[in-house]
Amino acid sequence: MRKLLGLLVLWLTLALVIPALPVSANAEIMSFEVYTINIANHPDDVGGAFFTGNNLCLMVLNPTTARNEQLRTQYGAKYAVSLDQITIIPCKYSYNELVRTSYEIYVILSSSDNQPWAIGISENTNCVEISVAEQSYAYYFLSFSQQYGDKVHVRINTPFIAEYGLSSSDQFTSNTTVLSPNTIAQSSRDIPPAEYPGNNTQNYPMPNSSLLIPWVMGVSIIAALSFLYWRDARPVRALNTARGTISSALVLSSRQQTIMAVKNSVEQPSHNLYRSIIEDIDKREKFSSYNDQKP
Amino acid sequence: MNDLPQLLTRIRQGDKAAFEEFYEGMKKPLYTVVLRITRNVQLSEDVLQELFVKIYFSPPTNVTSPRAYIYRMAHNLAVDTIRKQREYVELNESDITLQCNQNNTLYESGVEKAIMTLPERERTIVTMRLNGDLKFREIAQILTIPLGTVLWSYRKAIGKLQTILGDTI
Repeated sequence: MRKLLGLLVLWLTLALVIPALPVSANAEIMSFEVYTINIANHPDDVGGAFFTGNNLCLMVLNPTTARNEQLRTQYGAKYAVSLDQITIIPCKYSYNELVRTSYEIYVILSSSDNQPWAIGISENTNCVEISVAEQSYAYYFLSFSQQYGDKVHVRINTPFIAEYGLSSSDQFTSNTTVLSPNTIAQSSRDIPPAEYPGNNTQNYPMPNSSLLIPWVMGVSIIAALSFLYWRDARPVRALNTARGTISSALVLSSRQQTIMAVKNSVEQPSHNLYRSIIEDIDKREKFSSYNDQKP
Repeated sequence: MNDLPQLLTRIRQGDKAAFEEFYEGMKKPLYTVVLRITRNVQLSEDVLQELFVKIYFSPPTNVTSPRAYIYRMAHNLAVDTIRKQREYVELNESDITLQCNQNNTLYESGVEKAIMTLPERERTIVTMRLNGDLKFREIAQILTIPLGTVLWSYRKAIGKLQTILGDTI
């Protein structure tokens, strides 16, 4: 019974802990698919799109006349603007490349920085915007500038914090898609998955609390089984033997040992008892036979 | 004693050797059960003598479980004896304890001391189960209490004993 309980506790613990290890190690980091759920969908040669008044500015990587016309037609239909309202501006980085870079930086910040921070893609400046706390600004400015050059722009987060509460339409007019864990989670909840056909709908983020119930149940079961195991097998300091002596201060006793001690503590009647019984039996037999012989 | 029904049949036929064998096999567990009910050595031996004499003259051969039947007889005789003693002598707990200490048998072992701290019903259940090797169902029938109560009391008693024996030093 004890072995069975022990094995059950071990199995349950492993079953709960092993899958949780990678999750807990990257608890703050969401997958790239979830990260990009609220990102604009541009072709690889487009660096971004933003409005200035009624004109749509389209940032294009290595623009050519043919490609420009193609993009004008595509974006004109998409944003319901006439072709002459679309301005093509050459840019250095593709929007999708900026997304990948921002995700790399997001992973770094999620796992290393406890201060408030935000990250986003500025479509009009064609770079990744990072807003960090003042005390860590110098460190990130140096390291990201060295690594990414002008693809990344680091700034102190004071003016950026106000943008946390922006709605998706505000984000577009400000030309900055603010990507912080809070805004992404909020936006994901606000937007129904049907508006994002394709792989976005498959990657719709699940609330974290869905794992909480099985986790709590598992931990409760482990606790209950551990208690049963402890109660059944807990060692105590010493045990009085059936002979009345203390076996040793180092001897451990368990429930099973207690049962064995009680089992062995059998009492014995005096040696005269059997003789008394036989005498009693003989006496009664004689008395009985005497009564039988009486007329 | 696996051949108890056979022994009882032989006793019914007046076989004293079978009776002696039966006595040798049953004296310790029966005496332990009776002693833990009466808590008095002399009374326990009297009860045991009466029990074995009764079994000699009318062995329980036509019952489902002769072993349980014999324990029931022992339990009833012990309880009756205690009741009679209280009626005539007005024994109280301290008198019994004193007598036990004078005999220097009952409290010799630490386990006995621990068992004697249990309430009477728990003590009887533990003794019948561990020393008499009776089934819980049989104990429930003998004591005329529900099976669940027997199981619960047994578990509780073992827990208490474990604590007492562990805290002895």
